[in-house]
Amino acid sequence: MKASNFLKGLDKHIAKSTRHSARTLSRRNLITRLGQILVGTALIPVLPVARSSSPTPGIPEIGDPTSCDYWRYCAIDGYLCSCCGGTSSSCPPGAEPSPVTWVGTCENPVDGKRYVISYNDCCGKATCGKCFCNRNEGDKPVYYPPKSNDINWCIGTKSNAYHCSTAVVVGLDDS
Amino acid sequence: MKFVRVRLLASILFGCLLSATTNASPKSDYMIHCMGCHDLSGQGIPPEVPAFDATLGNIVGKPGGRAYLIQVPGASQSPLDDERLAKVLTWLLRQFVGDDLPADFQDISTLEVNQFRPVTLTDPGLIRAKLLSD
Repeated sequence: MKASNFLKGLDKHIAKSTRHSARTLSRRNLITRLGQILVGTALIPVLPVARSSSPTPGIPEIGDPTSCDYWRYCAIDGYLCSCCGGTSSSCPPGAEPSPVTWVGTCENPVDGKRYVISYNDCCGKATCGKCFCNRNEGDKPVYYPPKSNDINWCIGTKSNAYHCSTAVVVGLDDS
Repeated sequence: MKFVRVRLLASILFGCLLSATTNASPKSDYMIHCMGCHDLSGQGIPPEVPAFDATLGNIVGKPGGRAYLIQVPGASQSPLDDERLAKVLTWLLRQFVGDDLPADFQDISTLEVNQFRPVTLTDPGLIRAKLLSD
């Protein structure tokens, strides 16, 4: 008997809310909402955030990525993307990571191991101008371009305009 | 006694040198000296930076192909010594070309690097095209 009352109450509630929806919402409303959800979901991956390759997971971390003293920056020469709307391993929105880069190694002070760091420049926007950092561990003169951080590495990108630099951990240097 | 000490010191130094060279990981050498242009995946940015794919398997099987791989500027002018260059070339061929290598493929040797490296290629692109068309 109680179950019957419950079902009647449920039926009444659903009927009431359906009538309310019919009065207040147009028939196209559902289609509009569904469309927004579908388009929104599809657009999330193409939001204008350029992504360099992800840092290797499981690396013990220490320090502030917006500070020039951060361990990954031991061979960087440029503006830190982490101060320019990006992170230490990804470009700010609207900037494109250079596929060609110069690579160095830095010692992680937590585990004492050396890691291979890819210093991908972010390109296609005016120079960021924040948090300039110039540390030159392993840097070679410009007459040896593959190992020089003084040159503009915005090569292979749509624009050669330099914006800022990232420091992506690629792997362990076990050489 | 002094002679024994000198010999002992020499053997220790030689041992250190040997371990320093044999412990070098070709994968690390690839990451540090090659990946900047050729990418971690070996796909490069064709046509300026050639991909390490089946094309390389084709080249390495041709007469002069192995010498060409040693003499391209990125390899011959790298700061790696001959032994490490031989190892990293072999590593990348096996890693990225794999099954597309000739069936009788043998590792690039230090001796080959030593022999072919001093020759400077004035137009690597032309030699590459010629190797591929032969």
